[in-house]
Amino acid sequence: MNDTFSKLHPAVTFFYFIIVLLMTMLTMHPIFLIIGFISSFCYCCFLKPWQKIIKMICWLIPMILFLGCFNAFFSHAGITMLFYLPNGNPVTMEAFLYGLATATMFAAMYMWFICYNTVMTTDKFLYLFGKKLPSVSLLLSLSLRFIPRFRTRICQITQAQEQIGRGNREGNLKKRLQCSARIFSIAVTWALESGIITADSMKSRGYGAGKRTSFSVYHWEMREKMLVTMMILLLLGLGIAVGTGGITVKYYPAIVFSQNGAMICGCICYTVFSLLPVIINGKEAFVWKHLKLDT
Amino acid sequence: MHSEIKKRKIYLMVLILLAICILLMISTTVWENRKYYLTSFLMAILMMVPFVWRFEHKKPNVRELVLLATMIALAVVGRAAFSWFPQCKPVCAIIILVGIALNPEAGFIAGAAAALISNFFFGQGPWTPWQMLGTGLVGFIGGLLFNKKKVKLFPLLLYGFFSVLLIYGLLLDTASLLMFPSEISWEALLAMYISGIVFNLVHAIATVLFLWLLKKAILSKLDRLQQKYELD
Repeated sequence: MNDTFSKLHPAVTFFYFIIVLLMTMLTMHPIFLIIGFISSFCYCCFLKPWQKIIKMICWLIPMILFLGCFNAFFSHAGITMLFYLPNGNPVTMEAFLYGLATATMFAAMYMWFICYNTVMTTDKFLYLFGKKLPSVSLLLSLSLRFIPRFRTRICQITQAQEQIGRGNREGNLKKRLQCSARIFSIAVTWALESGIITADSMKSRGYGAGKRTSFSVYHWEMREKMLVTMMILLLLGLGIAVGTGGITVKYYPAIVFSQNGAMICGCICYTVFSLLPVIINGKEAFVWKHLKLDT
Repeated sequence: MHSEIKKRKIYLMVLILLAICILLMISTTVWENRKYYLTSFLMAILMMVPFVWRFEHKKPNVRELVLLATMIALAVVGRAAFSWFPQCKPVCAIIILVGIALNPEAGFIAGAAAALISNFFFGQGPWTPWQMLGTGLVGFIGGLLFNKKKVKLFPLLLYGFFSVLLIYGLLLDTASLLMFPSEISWEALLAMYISGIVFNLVHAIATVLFLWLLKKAILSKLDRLQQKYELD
């Protein structure tokens, strides 16, 4: 996977995801929903191998349909009646479409989160918040380091206990539980004592004596500046569209959504904004190919 | 110095309350009461701010910090170890014990951090802030109820059962109703609670079991450690 977007400064990436998630949650306008859905799907396709994408589709499409039907059976508002349920309640097209719309929104959000999980790795997250929240980020990075350490230790303890006939894989249930509890108890003692040693060692190396600096490979360069300017411009366009009623939509009693100039302007801005990673990757791929032909 | 911090704390509280009021106003007027999820999502994040702020400003000493990190890591490893069985999570049990042995604020921070970190492995999603708030509150209230007291087993187990069932379970069920579509109504909420009750019961019973198994292992060890190294 050669994703240029994830090599950008984490602040840009984080800003992008926040805006895109907020926009996805904010609007129920059908065209905006479709744009959000398609662009999140495109970026997902870029980041994940196709086997995973197929698995995801197999799961998402039935869920969207199910949620559409779910709403249609429970909500009976709307004027276009499709048919009556056996208990006499009407099923309306509006309720069905409303359910579909919210399900599309959920699916888009789900896919954005898949992209977020792949792109915003833990180190980027800690890099971003380390300066503002030093104690919390130290706490998080310490715990992240402890997790693999404790796993290996629990393995070691289990092996050692097995050798003296106290393994948790044999005997009756009571014995197994007892042995598991003992293994955990040993692990806790070991972890706590070694934690104190870690703390003392940190202190003797000068923790708390001054400001902590951290290593990072991220730079704030020209491309970041340009990208942020572009994002802000697009957001302004979107803001104007939202302000002038470009995303208003009503599902009940009948479906009415704005179809004016503001909507078109908002749509264009939103499409470009949410496709930014795909556009950047496409541009990089194009440049790469182009340079290769030249030489 | 101390009064300065206290002043700023009150200032922060007022700010948070104001922010929540403004959020609710925007939600009812501009968004016409439709963006339930967005509103509550932002509110959940706002509610965590005072705890994080307090933790930052207390300047925890390095031993406390490492101790807390150890317990968080143990909770996450525990969740990973039992992830083959749905809802059988020792996280809440360990967090309650941390809240009791250290202090309520530490319980909240540990709970929120454990939820955040375990989601680095299990996948972040729109549910992350809710899980953070839920586990955090379970640890915080546990700390408030039992901290600095001799902890008896039975009330502890009772608290573990009902806190997971009522605080964590109901909070997460409400959140998933907000995440999913359809109109918000009391009937829909009730239906959601009823459909979630089996999962919540399993989670609550697992928490009780873990509390029972781990109470001695964790509580007495943390007490011993605090005595031995004069923490706090």
